[in-house]
Amino acid sequence: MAVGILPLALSDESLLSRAVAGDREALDELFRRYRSLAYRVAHRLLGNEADALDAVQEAFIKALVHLPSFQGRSSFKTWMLRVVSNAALDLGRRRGRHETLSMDGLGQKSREECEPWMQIEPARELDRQDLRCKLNEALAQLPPAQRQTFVLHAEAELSYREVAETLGISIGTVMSRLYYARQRLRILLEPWIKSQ
Amino acid sequence: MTHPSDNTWAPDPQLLGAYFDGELDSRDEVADLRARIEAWLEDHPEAVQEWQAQQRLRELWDDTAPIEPSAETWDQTLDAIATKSREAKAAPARASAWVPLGIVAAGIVMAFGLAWAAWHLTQRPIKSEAAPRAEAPKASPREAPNREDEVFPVATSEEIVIRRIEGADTDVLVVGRPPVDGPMELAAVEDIRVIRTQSTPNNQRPPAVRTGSQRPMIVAE
Repeated sequence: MAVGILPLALSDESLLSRAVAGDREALDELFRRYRSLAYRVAHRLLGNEADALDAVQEAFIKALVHLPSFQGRSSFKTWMLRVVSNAALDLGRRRGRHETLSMDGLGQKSREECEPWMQIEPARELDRQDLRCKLNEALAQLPPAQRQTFVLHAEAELSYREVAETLGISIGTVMSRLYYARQRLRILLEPWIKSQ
Repeated sequence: MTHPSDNTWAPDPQLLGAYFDGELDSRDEVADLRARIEAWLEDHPEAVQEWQAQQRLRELWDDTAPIEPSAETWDQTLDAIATKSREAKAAPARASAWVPLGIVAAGIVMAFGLAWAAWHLTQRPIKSEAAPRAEAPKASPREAPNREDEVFPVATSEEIVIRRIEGADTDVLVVGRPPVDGPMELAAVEDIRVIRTQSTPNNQRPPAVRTGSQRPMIVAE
């Protein structure tokens, strides 16, 4: 089987076009470039690996199937982040509605989420995992739009302008959402922030 | 740079947050504003606590970064993306293959229908205008097809932009400037806290704030 060499310098847009046309290597490269960023954003919005991977999968499928909605108006990165964060919020809403029916299921999921950490570094990671669960709980208490804005800024390290472009909102709205998200998080995480 | 004539000026907390985030750095158009904030901070060292709190939250955030999935998990995810996107693209193509057949079938049905209607029109006896209308069969609501049986998806959430929501029959307020895009942020009465009101240049009276309403309406009087 002949294996083509894909230039690393190929733009995201070129890779996307090739991937849409069925070029598996282009898809591999595009996925390699953005999987980690998309996963981290989705994980912060959903709080666990399985759901975050579902959101990443959904976002990449949307990118490949609905290419015309991209239209090159923004960078692929901001477009992908918008799609993945929206997919994560949608998924969270769907799963959330289901999980409210069974609080036991939710508790079980939290424990499962904690286990991999404990297995990797048993002693030191316990505190960090506790912190992580508290942060997830605090994030979950933010209104979805605030959570999305905050995660795009803090995790994807987008500037205010990039967040505004990604979400189609004004920079003033970004400022406002970030301010209120931080205020809320500081209140909810006060004991852990003080002990830092 | 100092502004001795403007002792009462204080940066908005949101603006201060943007300053601490470095959003005003290296931007000539806001150089004056940046200098003004820095001068204000010199006189208000307590405000630096805000920055410190922001830093601690940042450290907490960095310390709890999500763990990357294994290489095997990434491979499985990529395979699923390749397979499902192929299937999703193939689905409309399969559907479109039936479109020409459907058009032909619809054309035949329509031709028969028109021929039948034309034949009926030529065969129908001419009746006077005063013919009793009671003979016309009445459609029973029970006989009408139940339109709620089948739901056709017409748009996804991403394709809808809400430009305006009337507030008379809701107990929430949409937050943000129209057009609202993406997930809708809604505020209930308990979510809204009036921090400051100010008058417009045309009207020197500050807006009146009334609390206790069941709806989060903001009314300027």
